[in-house]
Amino acid sequence: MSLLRVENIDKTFVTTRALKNAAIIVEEGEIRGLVGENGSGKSTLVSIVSGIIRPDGGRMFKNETAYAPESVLDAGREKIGIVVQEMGTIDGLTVAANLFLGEERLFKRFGLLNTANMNRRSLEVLHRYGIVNIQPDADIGALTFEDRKLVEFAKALYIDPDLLIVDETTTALSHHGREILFSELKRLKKKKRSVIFISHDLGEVIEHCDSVTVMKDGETVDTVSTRGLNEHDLKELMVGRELQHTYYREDTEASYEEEVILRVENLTLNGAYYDVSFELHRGEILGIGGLTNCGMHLLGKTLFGLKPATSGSVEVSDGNKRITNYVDAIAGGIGYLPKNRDQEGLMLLSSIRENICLPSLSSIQKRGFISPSKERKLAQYGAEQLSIKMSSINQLCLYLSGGNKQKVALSKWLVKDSDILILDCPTRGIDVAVKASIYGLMQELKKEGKAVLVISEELQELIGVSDRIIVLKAGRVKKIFERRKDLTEEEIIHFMI
Amino acid sequence: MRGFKRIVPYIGLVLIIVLFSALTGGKLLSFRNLKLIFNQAVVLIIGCIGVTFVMAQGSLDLSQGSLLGISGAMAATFAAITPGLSLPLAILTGIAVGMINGTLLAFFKIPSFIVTLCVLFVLRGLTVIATHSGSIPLPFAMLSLDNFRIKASILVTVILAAYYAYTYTSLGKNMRAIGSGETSARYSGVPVERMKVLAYLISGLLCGLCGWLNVVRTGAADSKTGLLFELDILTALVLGGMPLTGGSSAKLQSAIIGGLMLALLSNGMVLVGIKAELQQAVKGVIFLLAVYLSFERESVVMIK
Ligand SMILES: Nc1ncnc2c1ncn2[C@@H]1O[C@H](COP(=O)(O)OP(=O)(O)OP(=O)(O)O)[C@@H](O)[C@H]1O
Ligand SMILES: [Mg+2]
Repeated sequence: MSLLRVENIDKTFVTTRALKNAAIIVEEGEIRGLVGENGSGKSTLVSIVSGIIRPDGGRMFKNETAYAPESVLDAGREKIGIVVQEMGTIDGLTVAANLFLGEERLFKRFGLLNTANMNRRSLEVLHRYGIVNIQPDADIGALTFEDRKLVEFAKALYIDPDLLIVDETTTALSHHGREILFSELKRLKKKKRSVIFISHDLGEVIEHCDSVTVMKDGETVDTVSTRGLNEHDLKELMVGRELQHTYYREDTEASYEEEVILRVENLTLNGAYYDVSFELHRGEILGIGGLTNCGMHLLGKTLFGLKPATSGSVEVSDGNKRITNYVDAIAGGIGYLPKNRDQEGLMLLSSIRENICLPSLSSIQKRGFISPSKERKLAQYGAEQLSIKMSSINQLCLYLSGGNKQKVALSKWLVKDSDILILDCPTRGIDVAVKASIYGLMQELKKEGKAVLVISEELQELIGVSDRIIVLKAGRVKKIFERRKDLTEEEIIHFMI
Repeated sequence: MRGFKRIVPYIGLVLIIVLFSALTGGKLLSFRNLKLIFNQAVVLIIGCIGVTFVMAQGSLDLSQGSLLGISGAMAATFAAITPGLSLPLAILTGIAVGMINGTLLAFFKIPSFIVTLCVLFVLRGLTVIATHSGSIPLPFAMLSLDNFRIKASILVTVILAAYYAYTYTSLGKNMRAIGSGETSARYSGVPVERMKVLAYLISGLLCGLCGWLNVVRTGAADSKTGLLFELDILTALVLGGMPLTGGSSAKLQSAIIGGLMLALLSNGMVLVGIKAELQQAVKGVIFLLAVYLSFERESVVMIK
C-alpha cells in the first residue's frame, strides 16, 4: 500500500503551465528525491500535496483514501508536514508562536494563551531535534536565515508526520544544520515514515534518498532508484541533454593581477568577527569559508557598507575611498548578493525589470530622465544572460520559481557592471545547468579584470572556483589557502572546526 | 484580474457622473457647477499628488488637514505685510513641516501614521493660535488671484512636473522600490532615509501650495480651515486605486482620478441636498468600501 499517490495533477498560473499530468507515488518508509531544473514545477507539486495551493485537476490519495487538503493545517491533520523553499516563518512573532501557529488552542485556558507553557513546550521540541541555540521567546525576525529554517523544520517534525516534505532547504543550512536534517530523515525512515526531498545538490540526493523522481517542464518524466546511480547520469536525465563533466575551473593554479582593488584592514565587529585583513586583487576570485556562524555572512555585509564595523577599515583602491555605507560601496563599484534573497535580495512585489534596473538607474539616466526603452533593454539583456525563465520582464518576482529569483537577484549586479562582486551563497537553489553558467560567468568576470568574493558554505564550490580561500573560525582568519590541484575538503574543514 | 482592477477607478468615475447627473437632472454638469467642482478638485488633486509620493513608500501622511490650516494662516498673516510674501511663506511652512515629518519617521523610526497624526494635532493647535481662534482676512487686492487661468496653470504644471518625477526619474522609482521592499531597496543602493524625508518634503510643499490656493479662494484664513482634509485625501487616493502598501503598483494617476472623483462626489451630495453631517458618514462608508475592494489580501504580510 502506498503512502501517497498523486495522479494527473494540472496547475496553471495565469498563463504559465506549471504542472502537466504530474504524478508521483511514495511508499511507506521511502525517502524520495525530487529533482529538476529551475521552474520545472517541483515546488508547485509539493505545495499542492501540502495544501498550500489547490490543483486545477487530478487526484491524490493518502493511504489509498482520497485526499484533498484545503490548507497547510489540513495537511498537518493528515500528518503531512512541509519545510518550504522560501521563508516559511512569520515576522513579528516569537519562535514559539511560529512553532505552534494554528495550534494555539493547545495552550489556551478560558480563552487566554498560556505563553509560559507554550515556551516550555517549544524548548522541548527544539531540543528534541538537537536545536539548542534558539530561545523560544526570541523574536523570529532577529534570527539568522538558517535558524529560521531550523525552526520551520522543527515545526514540520513535531506533528510526527507520515510524510515530511523538504523543499530546497539544504543550501540555506550549514554543515551543522544539514547534519540535523539528515539524521532526522534517517530516523523517520526507521519509523517507516516517508520523505520527499527536493535539492539541486544531486550528490546529496543520491546519498540520502532511496529513489529519485525527475521533473521537466511541469511533468514527472522519470523515477529511478539511486542504487548505482551516478551524479552525471542523473544530471543528464534532468537536463535532457549531454553535459560537460566538470563545471568548475580547469586551471589548477591561482592567477590574478598585482593590482589591489579592495583592501580590508584589521576589521572587527564585536561579537561577529575580529581583526580580519586581506587584499582582493583585480582578476581574483576570493573564497571565504567557515561554519555558518563564523562571521563570514556579517563580514560580507560590512564590506558592502550595510553593517558598520567596530574598528578597522574597508577601502576601494579606486581613489582610496573608504567604505562606510552602502551608497558609497555601490559608487565604489561594489555589488552584493545577499543570502536571504526574499527579504534582502528582491522586491517580490515588483517586476523583474524593476528589480534588475534598480541599482543601475543612475547610469541609464540622462540628465535625470530614465528612458523606459533603455530600462527594458537592460532588463531584457540581464534576463537573457542568465536565461531567466519568465513570462516577460514585467512579471512580478513573487511568481518566479526559487532558482529564477536567485538569478534576478544576481542579474542586477551583472548589468550594473560592478568591479567587485560580493556573493553570499551565489548558487543557492540554482539548478546544475545554471550553476555551470554562473561559474563560467565568474571566470569571465575574472578575465575582464573584475574581482569576485564568494562567501559559501559549499567547500566543493569554493575549491572549484577560488584563487584563494580564506577560512574563518569563530570570526578570526585561521588560514588562507592558495588554489592548487590537490586541495581537499578535509584539509579545509580541519581549520574550520 | 489585475488588468480589471486597474480600470475600476475609471468605471467608478463614470458611475458617479452618471448617477449624480441623473439625480440632479443634469445640474451636475452645468457650467456654473463645473466651476465649483474645479475649484474643489484643484486643491484636492494637488494635495493627493503630494501624498502619492509618501504612499508609494507604503507610509501615510495624515498631517495635511492642519498643514492646510497653518500654511493658510501664514500666508494670510504675511500677506498683510506684503502680498508677495504670502505664497513663499505658505510653501516654506509646508516644506518645514514635511522635513519634520520625514526626519521623525526616517531617523527616529516612529511609524508614519503616528508621527503625522501627532503633527496634525500640534499644527491644529498652532493654527488656532495663529488665527486667534477666529479668521485673518486677506488684503482685498489679492482676491483677484482667485481666477481660473492661474489655478489651471498651477494645476497643469504640478501634474506634469510630478508625473515626470514620479515616472521617469530615479526619485520616483526609488520611492516605489521602498514600498515594494524597504530592505531589498536598501540592498540595491536606494538611499532610504533620504528618500523618506524627500517624500514628506514634497508632500508638505504641495500641501503648502494648497493652503495658499485655499486661502486665496475663501479670502481668509480660519482656525477650522482644512479640517478633515487629510481624510479626504486618503479617501480620494484609495478611490483612485492607490494601494495602501505602496510599491510598484502605486500610480500617480490615482491622485488625479481619485481627487476628481471625490470632488464630484462631494459636490453631487450637496446638490442632491444631503446634510453635511451625513455627507461625512457617506464618505466614511465609501472609504471603507474602496479599501475593501482594493486590498491585496495575498500581500498582507508585506505591509510595513
Ligand atoms: N504563484 C505563481 N504565479 C505565477 N506563476 C508561478 C507561481 N508559482 C510558480 N509559478 C511558475 O510556475 C513554474 C514552476 O515553478 P516552481 O516554483 O514549481 O519551480 P521549481 O521546480 O520549484 O523551481 P526551483 O528549482 O527554481 O525552485 C515557474 O515557471 C514559475 O514561474
Ligand atoms: Mg522551487
